[in-house]
Amino acid sequence: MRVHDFVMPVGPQSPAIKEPILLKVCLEGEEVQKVRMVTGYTHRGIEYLLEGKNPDQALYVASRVCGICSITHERAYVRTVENILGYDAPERVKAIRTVLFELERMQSHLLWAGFMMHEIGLETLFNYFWREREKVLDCFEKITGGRVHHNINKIRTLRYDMEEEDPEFILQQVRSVARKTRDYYNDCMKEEVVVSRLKNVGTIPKSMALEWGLTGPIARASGVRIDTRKIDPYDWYSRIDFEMAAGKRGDALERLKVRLTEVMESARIVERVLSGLPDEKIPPHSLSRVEGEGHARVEAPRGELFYYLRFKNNRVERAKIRTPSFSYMKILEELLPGMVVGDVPVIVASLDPCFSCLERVLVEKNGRVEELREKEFRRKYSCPG
Amino acid sequence: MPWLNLVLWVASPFLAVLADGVYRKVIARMQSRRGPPVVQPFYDLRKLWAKKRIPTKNDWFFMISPFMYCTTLFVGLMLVPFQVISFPYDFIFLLYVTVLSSAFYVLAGISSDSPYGMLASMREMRLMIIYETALAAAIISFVVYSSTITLAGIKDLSILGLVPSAVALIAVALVESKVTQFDTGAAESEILPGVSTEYSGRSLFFLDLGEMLKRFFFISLLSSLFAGGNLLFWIVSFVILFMAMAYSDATTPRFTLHTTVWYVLAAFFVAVIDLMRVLWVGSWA
Repeated sequence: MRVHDFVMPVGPQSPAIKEPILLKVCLEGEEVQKVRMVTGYTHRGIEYLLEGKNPDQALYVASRVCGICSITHERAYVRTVENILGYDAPERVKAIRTVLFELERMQSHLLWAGFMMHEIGLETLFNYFWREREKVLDCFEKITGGRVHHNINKIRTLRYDMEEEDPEFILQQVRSVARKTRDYYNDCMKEEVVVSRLKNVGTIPKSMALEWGLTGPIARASGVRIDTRKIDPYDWYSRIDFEMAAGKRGDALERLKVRLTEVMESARIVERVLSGLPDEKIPPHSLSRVEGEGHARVEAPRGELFYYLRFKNNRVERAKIRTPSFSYMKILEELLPGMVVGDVPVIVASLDPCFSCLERVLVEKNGRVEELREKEFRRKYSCPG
Repeated sequence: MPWLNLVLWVASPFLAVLADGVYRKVIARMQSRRGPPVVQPFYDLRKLWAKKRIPTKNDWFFMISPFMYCTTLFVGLMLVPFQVISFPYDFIFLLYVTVLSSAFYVLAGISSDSPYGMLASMREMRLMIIYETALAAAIISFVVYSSTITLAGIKDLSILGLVPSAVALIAVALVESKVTQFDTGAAESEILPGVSTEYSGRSLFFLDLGEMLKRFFFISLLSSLFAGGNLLFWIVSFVILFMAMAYSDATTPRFTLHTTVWYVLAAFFVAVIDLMRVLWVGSWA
């Protein structure tokens, strides 16, 4: 028996990974020799669930692809359908959508930051970050009535308009969140132990980020300046000038910097949008009839989210969702070898993977739907790893 | 007042559990949380006591280690702080008890056959070899400096002349008490609960109670050494160390095993050099 035949399972239920995947970590002492990743624990067949539904019904399914970025999936779906319809939403609708989008980015990054602090054992900052997140959730509750799932986006319009007093409340909250986030950011950068736990851990060089097709904060932390809000603007992003947070080293510390900077930048975007919120009525909702196919992408908190939809007889005939986590689901097998056990949760957390989003190995070929296990899928479709 | 000491010793598990409740509350306040009630650890332990034990392995060490881990610490509390018994060279007995408790903790992990327990035990063993020696050197420094052969004989404020040993002792107490930055043997996000992964019911009860006793024991030991028999100083010392430990727990992230080993090694060298100094100066007298 070789020494690294000692296998430590991380997951599928582990405090290191908040979503169910299994990492079979082969160890030699404390050092990781090899990692084998097993997925498939949260496969819900969500694309299949979308099929056969009319455009308005499918929206509710789309919003449930992810529990953290519900608005993002709604928006990506709606953008795709509106692209097919060739519809340009009124300015107020676009503005409110932008606000919601940035609020979602803030809450997702704050949730992640708290989780990251928990992984390195700094429970106090974990509590502080999550306390700030609650303020963002209060904003959501004020606008949409929901804190996690919102269902506010509708095709061509929104379910609810903002009340008169809402912008003031949101501004107050996001300013407070941005101020506190700046304080915590400075605390993290000053705390030597935090820096030593994150610096040069899970480094993804720029070339590797490009090779794997990474997007979002992970790519930006590696120096790849890519952001769908800049390269393919939608809603009010073309009207607003904002900074793209980017790093160089591509390690866990850079990812922390990028995400916390994005929280502060999102707060600024919300302020700018709300200061110029058009005073008009949003159009009433009406059932849509959609035919044809289309695609769209949006910048989710984790990176580029892509939707492809094909409608036939006003029903979804085919849906394909590519979530940002999909591109880096297998990168763990490359990042972890050579690191110590203590770095495993830090690296996994620093990527902020969302497995319930990405587990969708359902393939349609020649009109026949086949459901594949992860192993079969990788072999058949030459998935990296 | 030997009877009072005996009563306090018997009540020491309750005091340790209560101290743990206060500890959780203090940390919660530092994190701007309300925190659980002070008696929460009693509820937790009562629940564990009532739960059925599910042995994953029919091994003698697996069965007995948690109980022995807890018992050895309980025996150690006879010497400090309650001094129910005192006899010549009792500090050697105390050192033996602390080593034994750590050894049973390691055995509990190894005998569980869980990869997490094994890894936790391996981590703990690496640290134990160093910190138990540092602890021995520091305690012997105190005893030699006070020119006594019993722990009860440390009557003056010898800490003033033994600052390096005191620092080493505090460092070792932080590691032994598994304060977050040094809890590599029970780092939840890395190796689940470590040693106690496979334990349930009363076995887990004894492991958890042992953790609480250990923290209480080490804060008491340090207070006894630092206060030199003065009750007021003992209480002040206990409160300061308790709060310092909670503050450290709440504000510092977890070190990697590598960093922790270096930290414990530093404590070891400080303790040993101070012991050599004490022995050298003592040989002049």
